[in-house]
Amino acid sequence: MTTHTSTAARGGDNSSAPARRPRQSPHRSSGLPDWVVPYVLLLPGLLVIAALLLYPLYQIIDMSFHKVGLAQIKAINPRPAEFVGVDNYTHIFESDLFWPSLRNTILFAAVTVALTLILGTLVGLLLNKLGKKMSMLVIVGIMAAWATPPTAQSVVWKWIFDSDSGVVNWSLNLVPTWLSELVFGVSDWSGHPWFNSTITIYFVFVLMVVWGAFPFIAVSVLAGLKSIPSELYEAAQMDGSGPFTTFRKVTFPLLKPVFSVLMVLSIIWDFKVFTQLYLLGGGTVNRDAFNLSLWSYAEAFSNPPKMGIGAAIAVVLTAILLVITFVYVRQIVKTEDDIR
Amino acid sequence: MTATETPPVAAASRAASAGPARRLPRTRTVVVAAAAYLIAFLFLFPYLVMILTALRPQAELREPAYLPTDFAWENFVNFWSGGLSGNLLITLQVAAGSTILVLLVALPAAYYTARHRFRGRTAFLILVLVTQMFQPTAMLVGIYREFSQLGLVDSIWSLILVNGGFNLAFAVWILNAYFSSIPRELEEAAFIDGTGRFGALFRITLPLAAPGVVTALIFTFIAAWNEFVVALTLTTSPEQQPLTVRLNSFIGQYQVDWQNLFAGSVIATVPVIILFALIERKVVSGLTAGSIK
Repeated sequence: MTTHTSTAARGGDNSSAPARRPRQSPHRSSGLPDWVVPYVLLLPGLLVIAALLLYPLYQIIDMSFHKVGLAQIKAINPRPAEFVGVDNYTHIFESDLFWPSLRNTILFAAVTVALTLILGTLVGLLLNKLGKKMSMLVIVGIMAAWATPPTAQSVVWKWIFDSDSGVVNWSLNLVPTWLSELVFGVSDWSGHPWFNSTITIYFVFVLMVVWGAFPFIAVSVLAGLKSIPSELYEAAQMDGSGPFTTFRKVTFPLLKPVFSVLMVLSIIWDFKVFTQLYLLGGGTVNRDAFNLSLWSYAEAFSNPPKMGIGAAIAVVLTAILLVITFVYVRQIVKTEDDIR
Repeated sequence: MTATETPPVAAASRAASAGPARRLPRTRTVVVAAAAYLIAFLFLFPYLVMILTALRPQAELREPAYLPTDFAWENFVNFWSGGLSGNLLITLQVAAGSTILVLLVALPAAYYTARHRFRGRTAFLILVLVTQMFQPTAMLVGIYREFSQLGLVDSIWSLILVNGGFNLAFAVWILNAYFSSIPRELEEAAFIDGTGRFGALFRITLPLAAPGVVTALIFTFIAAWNEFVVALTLTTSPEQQPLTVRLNSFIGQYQVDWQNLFAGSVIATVPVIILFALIERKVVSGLTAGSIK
């Protein structure tokens, strides 16, 4: 009983100084020694991470130095893979697909992240101005886009941009011919294909991903805006600050941590987008439209499977992602420290 | 009606800035409301297209009129009788299975790291953060090799494991934030009152953390439901494929079966949107936890 009372007292202490919490609680009723308990509870998590995330990572690194086909990876009697050193890497760096894929990956991420953040912030600011009901309605409407399966998104957007029955070509045909010719250099949009050239594929692709991604930014920005005390805005208004100055001098500095996390999250999400490109571009047919992940998939899984090369591309992609992750983790750790 | 004549006034009052800007908010209200409706429309438009096309009779598919003359509910029946109900079941099993896996694995880890300081705690949390960034897309080749060595290609278990693994980090992170926000005094008070360690956990802490648990679970469920690329790689026979991948087979290189595609898309979309509506606010606070406080 005495131990319990003392624990309660210490518990009271903890709330004011959580960092000085004792490492081991004195009252453990399970039969395990105290120091074992955390590791027993963390073990399943560690096992899952090791088996499903770290082991595949090791596999792609290992495969990227080997020549691997289907015969090498089958379950029963796999043939040993031939070690080829850095040949796979030389192959991809010399391939005429490397630079276009890298360019597509990075340009796409840059454009999409920028558009997502700008549009998301604007909509977030707008939502902050709306009444409660209206903003709830808009939030639910736009967040639905975020939850929609990428497959379904691609189907709808492919249909909207369909050459014969798409609503886009139909609307563009309503533009007066002279204007259409002046702006786009096309007079008749019936049957105009959108999924043949890389540029137009990426146009629809960016549009679709921004459509699906910025609601999240908007709602996050809104959550941040709600946390800013309104006195600050009143003060800014008293000082005669216009909306742009207020945003630059009040809103942005206060929401900076939010923006940096959102930016890194968006970069990571936009680097991994695969489904939409795969479905819009018609699988692995259109080689000009490859990004790194689609190229890796195409090398590893189309006939004949060249898994070593696919793995080498995956390693390059992972290396890029890890650099970004490093920035993200540093940001999170920094904000955690700021709060404590 | 004021909207038509206010802009110059608004501009003038903004220039004066100190003057009584009574009309300014009203113009703004109109502009803001118009923008809101426009955005809401732009967002709803693709859904409108999805539903209308799903209900369009085959004969009318290529007609320019946007409203179908009669609704072809049989598109959904065809979907069902075409054997796609089996794929829907696979999707459901994969999503439910990986959600349970995540729950079992993430809950103890998140609870303990939130409540106790011990050697390796920070290392574990950083490992979780880093793995949150691991992409199935980038790991695909490695995942494929692992599961073909295990002989689990074309099996529902491989999909459950991979989806669980890739969503674990987010669940641990969000649950950790929730458990940390519950004062440990509550739990200790219950413990003193004689509930026992586990009683305190189950009667006090878990109910309080319920919103976080629900968020983490629904998020995992949606992510697993929507997953495409892993299933595309790991399943080969049509009857083992989840709905997202099976739908893909309706997109041929030259011919697209729009009817089935849209009926299937609607069926794949509706459940996740309903689930999402339940948690949408919490997901946001959970994902950016630490940056907004």
